[in-house]
Amino acid sequence: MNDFLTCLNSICPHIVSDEARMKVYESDGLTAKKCLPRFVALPETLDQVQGIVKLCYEHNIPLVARGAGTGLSGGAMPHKDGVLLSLAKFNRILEVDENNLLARVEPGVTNLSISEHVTDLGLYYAPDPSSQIACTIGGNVAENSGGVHCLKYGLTVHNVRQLKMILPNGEMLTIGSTAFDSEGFDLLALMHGSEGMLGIVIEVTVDLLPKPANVVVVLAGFSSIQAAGIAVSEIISGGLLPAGLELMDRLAIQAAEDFVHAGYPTDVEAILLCELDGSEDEVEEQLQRLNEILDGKITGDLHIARDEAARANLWLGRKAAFPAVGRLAPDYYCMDGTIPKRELGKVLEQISLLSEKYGLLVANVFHAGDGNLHPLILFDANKPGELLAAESLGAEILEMCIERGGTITGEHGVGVEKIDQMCLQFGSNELALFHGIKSVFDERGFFNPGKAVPTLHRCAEFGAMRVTRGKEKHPELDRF
Amino acid sequence: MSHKSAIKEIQNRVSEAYEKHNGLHIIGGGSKSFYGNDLHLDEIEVLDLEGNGLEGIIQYEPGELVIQVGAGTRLVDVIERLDQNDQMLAFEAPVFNGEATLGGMVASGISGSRRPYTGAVRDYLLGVDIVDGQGQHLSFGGQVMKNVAGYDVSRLLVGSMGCLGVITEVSLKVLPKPKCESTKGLEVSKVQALEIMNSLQTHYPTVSASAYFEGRLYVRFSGMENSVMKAARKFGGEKIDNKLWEEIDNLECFKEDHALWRLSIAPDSKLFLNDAALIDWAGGQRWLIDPDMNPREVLSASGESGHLILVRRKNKDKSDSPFHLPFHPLNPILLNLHRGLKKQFDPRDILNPHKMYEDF
Repeated sequence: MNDFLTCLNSICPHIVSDEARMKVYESDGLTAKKCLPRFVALPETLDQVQGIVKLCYEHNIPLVARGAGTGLSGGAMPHKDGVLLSLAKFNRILEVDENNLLARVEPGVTNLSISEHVTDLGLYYAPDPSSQIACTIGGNVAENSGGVHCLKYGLTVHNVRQLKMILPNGEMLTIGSTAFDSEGFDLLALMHGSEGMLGIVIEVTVDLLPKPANVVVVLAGFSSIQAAGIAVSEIISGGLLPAGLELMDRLAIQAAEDFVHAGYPTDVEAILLCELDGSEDEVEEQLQRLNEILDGKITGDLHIARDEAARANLWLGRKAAFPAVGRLAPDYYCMDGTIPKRELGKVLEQISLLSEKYGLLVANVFHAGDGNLHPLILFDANKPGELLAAESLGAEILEMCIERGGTITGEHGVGVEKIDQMCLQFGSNELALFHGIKSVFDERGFFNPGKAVPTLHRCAEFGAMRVTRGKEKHPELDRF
Repeated sequence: MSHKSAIKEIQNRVSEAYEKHNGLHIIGGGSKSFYGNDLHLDEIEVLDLEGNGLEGIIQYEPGELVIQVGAGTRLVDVIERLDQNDQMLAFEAPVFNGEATLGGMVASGISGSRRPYTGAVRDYLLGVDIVDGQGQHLSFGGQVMKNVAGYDVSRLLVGSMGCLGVITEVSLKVLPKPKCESTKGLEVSKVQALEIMNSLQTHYPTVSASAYFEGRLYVRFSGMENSVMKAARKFGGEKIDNKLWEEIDNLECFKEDHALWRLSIAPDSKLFLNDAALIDWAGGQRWLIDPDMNPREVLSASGESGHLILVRRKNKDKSDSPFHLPFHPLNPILLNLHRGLKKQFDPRDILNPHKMYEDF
């Protein structure tokens, strides 16, 4: 290891190896899963990144890439025997191409800073994960991050045109193009959400969009969460495509209201926040249509926020929902399943039963337009067994999402957190193909090992613990 | 035949071919037989999916904005069904005489006029089921819009020309249809046209298509009625039938007996500006007819980022010269990754052998 460290130091001057200074890197946003790496490397140049990758390749040392460490599934949790590669120093915006509506940026640039950089040109970068002030674009690619506007504007994969990446053998590769498509298989799509398993992104070319001339945010209250869920389907089947469509339940509303006083009604069971954008006419016509659809179905009046301050105020409660709920209990655990919208009512009922079963409160915040749920499980880690109970409750919610035709993760990724639930979502053949894809890029398996895709062995052990829907998912595997 | 037994039959056919090391030529509706390398038909078997039970809409609820269909379903039938609920596939893939199927649409990955403004086939694909090169039936993605569990195999299949699997089922995100659409035509020079096309999105948020040919710039606006009407008035020019875009997307503007090349390039590029017979996609897609020399050499010499597809060959020219390779050559690193992926999906190279690249 000393030889390795000597080599590492000769490649990159910024190496951290003392425990105290490495402590800040021991976890990402999922703080329940932590591990100190062997070393932390903070390269500043492309040559240094390539050098580090080659060195790890030669010595077969695990390498975990990290952006800002805001991820919520432990995807950037270090490996105990490995190097944590921070790309934080790659934080420059390299080029803005106004004609082609593109920005070429380094991976450590924060999501929000791209939009801030081009705002004077009347442009912005659409995906806006809630951590956008801190999260990096490299991390967004690795997780295929979403946000509140992805029903209309898509996820990261829909808004990135080109990537430069370092492959595990140290080679540099450009995928995608400044054109709308490129030759060969769609490796650009494959890289999105690949959780640092296939390559290290060192440059990203993102799409920019003209800022909509007008935006309104509408708040509607409902007497039951089911009624709000039905309204979501009616808004969408009624021909509207809102820029954002968010749903909060009573507990989340109350918490947000107590925390930031956004003016949310506290006498309702659920609220919908609906953002409409476009030209002035476009927005007025959509607003009229929304009024027709919601007529007679809401509790109280529609609150319509037209100017920026009023809009920001309505969004404030939603955006503060996580920290607000955090005030209700010492700890909370944020889930990220997605379900078909028609299942919303049943799933919520089920969540409230689970909440009773485990004796833990659950606040619900949803990207309702695309069926992405963020149940927040409240617990106290200092009480014996509560963390475990919260994790079990979370696991049951994810399994229910699969049963209802959904998925275990909409935008936070699998990481280390949901690796067991991957065994329920996919069969052995699909998982084997995932491992095959990984091996094409990373034959030695040293890029972010142990994340995102479970081994079949792990699934066999996990499957031995539980039987889903009366049948085993991997019957062909030995159980031990 | 039921959907289930249709899949079983495909699995059997592929497994048998796998055992015998026989190549399989996958055919859906047969609408894009001109696209891609010719397969040497005396050496391989045909796997014709026409009418074998993979047709039909499996699940569709307008409030979900998702449709799940058998891969043998004709695109025109899907469009019609969505249309009844004022919804659409936003990438406007070509229907080619009504013969195109959803499986072929995904395998070829060809998108239409709306592409620069609302996205491509790959952007709306949520899930696929395939039979891989060993006859295994695999399922990726699903019927929800946000899903980051596992690698994005669904999107990887878009444009893979059947080389990675026989597509049996497809789930797509759909969008509400615009309430109103209006197309205008304006006589301008090519240089002016490109400038206007490049800046349309900034000045006209309702723009949904743009193309230039035979001295005219055509632009479509889509959205709520008032905003579309206002945009169309502001743009000026002459009112044109919206059917124009279907004709463009279905390549009806081009005569069949010519070599037809498609250049995909940054929208503001000046490359082939004069030689292009049609420029669309905000300037990012250019169509060349019977070029004198290999346009790939011109692109390569320019150093610009882009690629060329020989969409249709002249007189069914089967010569193997590089001038006639349909898909843009891959650099060595990319080619290596492609070979590796192909081996994972189809270890014995039996699915559409050489359809996309000579190497596999």
